[in-house]
Amino acid sequence: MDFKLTAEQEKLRKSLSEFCAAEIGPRAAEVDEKAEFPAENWKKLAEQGVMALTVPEQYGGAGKDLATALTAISVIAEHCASTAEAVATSMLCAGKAIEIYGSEQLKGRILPKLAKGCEIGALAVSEPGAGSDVSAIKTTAEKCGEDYILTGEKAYVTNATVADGIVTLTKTGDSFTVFAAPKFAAGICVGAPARTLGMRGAVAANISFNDVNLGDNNILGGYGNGLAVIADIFDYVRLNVCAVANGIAVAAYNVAKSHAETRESFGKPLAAHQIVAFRVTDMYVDADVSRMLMYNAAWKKQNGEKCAPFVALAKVSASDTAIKNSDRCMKVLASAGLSADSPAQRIYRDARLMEIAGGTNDILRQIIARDQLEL
Amino acid sequence: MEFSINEEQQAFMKSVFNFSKNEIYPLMEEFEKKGEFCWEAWKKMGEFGMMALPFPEEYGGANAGVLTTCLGMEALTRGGASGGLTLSWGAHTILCGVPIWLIGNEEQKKKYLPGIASGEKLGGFGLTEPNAGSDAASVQTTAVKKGDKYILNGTKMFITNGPIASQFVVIAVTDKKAGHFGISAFIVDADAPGFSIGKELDKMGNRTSTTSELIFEDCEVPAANLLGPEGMGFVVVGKTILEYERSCLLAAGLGGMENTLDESIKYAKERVQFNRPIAQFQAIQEKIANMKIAVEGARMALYRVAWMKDNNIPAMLEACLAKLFMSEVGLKVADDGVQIHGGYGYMREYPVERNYRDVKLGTIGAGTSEVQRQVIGKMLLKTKKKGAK
Repeated sequence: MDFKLTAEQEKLRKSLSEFCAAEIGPRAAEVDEKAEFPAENWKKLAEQGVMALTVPEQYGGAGKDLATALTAISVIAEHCASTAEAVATSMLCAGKAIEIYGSEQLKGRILPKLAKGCEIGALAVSEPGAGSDVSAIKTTAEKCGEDYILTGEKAYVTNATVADGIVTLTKTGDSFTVFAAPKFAAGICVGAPARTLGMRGAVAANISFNDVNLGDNNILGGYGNGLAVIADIFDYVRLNVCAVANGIAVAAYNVAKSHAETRESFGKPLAAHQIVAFRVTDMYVDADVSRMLMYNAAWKKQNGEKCAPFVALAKVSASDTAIKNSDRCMKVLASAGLSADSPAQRIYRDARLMEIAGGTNDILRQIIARDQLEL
Repeated sequence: MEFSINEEQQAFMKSVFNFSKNEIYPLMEEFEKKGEFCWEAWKKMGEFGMMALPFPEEYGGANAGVLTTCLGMEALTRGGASGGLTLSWGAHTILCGVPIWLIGNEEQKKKYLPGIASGEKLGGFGLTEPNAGSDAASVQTTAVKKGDKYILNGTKMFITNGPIASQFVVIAVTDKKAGHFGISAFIVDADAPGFSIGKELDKMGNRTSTTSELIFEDCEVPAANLLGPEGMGFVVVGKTILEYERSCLLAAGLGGMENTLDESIKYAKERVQFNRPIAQFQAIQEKIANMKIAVEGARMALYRVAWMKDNNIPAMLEACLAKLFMSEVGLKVADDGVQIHGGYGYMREYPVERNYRDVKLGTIGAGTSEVQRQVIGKMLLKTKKKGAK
């Protein structure tokens, strides 16, 4: 049992915090306003080595563990949730799929670029008619000689507009297969960026596959193993949501705390009023517990333990807390929080995606319950 | 970070769980109904070594460490030991035993700890008074030194093990003008002249522990029973036991939540309505999921405090946080448990009914939730006006 970050992780957390406070946080409002992929933030974080964190050393990465990556993502999310979501999608969703399930050739070609941040990854699973019910997808990959022809449409794909490679789940007859598709492949068409409530810098769009021709080498995890591969990758997706959500929950706490300490009413700071102080305290408590659940789930995943229910409950806890804290933050700031200039309203909007992304909390509660009830 | 429970600890938890399920749980219903302390269960716990857990071996203890002590108490309650029995364990082992162990002099330790570690000499702790609850420093019980004795006068309220304990750690004012630093701690034997037990209190839950007032009327306590330096009782005792009580005592709360979850899972799988087990209904599944999320969050909060204490890291904030979080989610878990059981959950013969009543003490005892928020908030927030000193 050991509840503290390693000295190395702590050092990274501290230096990245300082970096993000200076370089990322000040641009969060602009990223939200423009609703565009935060290319400049991406570049700066890549220079800091963030994209390389989880990539194995032989492919030009830093070979760090999950806890380290999640720590970094949480820190970025404290300052700009959109940027963190874009980074995590590439690093922990697409990147892990290629690292774990890609052929040696594919890994050698893609991972060094992901590590440098000169290429961006995306993960496309949901469709207009299939979200939580993954096995209802309609995108197909039909064998045609040596190759496969992909046809169908994927929805809400984060990083779609800028991705260089897309990891996607397809139906192959009665089974499912995961492919890594280069964006330049003929027949891939990216739709207009979705206009969203929050997380506007983590731009999502639909992607359609119109007779896209891919080879054997593009298959991740073997033909017909798609559901198992995607189940494994979903653990990483959910942990990434945990990290972003925890960052949002902490951001909400920080904004509320700072306002409560500086704003005065009835001759004393808001923080000296019991109801406000208790509300801010509860924000800290819930964020703290959620963070421990994330690290616990990540530790299980890292060690190959059975972890889907633990990942699910960490994700539910983190996202519920992000939403609850963003709401409490609005209460503490009152009118000031409604202003478009206030980070509170952005945090409030960004938080909403957290209970949806990576499987809605409704579905995740079913995963937890079915495990408990042995259904 | 590393979140494993080692094999030895796992085996220990399993043996405590089985002991509790086979030896303790069958005794609970009768005593719960009577609202009486169960000496038979207490003796069995003593023989099993539950009261020895935190203490050094030279005083008859097991030197188990805080985490292992927590794991043991968690398993005991999960196995079906009632909240009352584990509350008695807490008042005895943690609130009476731990301050004697950590603050007492060699003579006091030799005299009292072996009986506490074996469970033969039941202990209690007297801080709360009729007019001093959350505002603990406002105690009115006085202790005046006279020769080689202190003379105590006052009344203590809601004292667990009051009617049956052999000795108590008691907090009393020795110098009214000195505020926090004028309060001292004493070990008071139950047969001390001038000491008596008030009426036994009838409680909502935790009914297998007995609770009463303690009355001091010119009660004579040998000066040798002063615990720690005079005037430092409140500060030292408070500091010493607070983190312990907000870890080791909370462990039973975690076990209680797990017991409720286990019982609810069992019931949901067995109970058939509309031609299928109610476990197949989404509304029941959602409750089970929420209970599990609460249990795991509580586990993290608790184990962290235990780990910190085992590694000598100050854990005041984390201990208060664990106490606050666990007791608040505990209420919801207990409520969901009864709801899943429907009408049966309202019946006394079902453990979830007892858990529902037992769990309420969590947000009140050892500092209300409001006091925890107050303490945590003070550590987190600056509340001074700008420019003020």
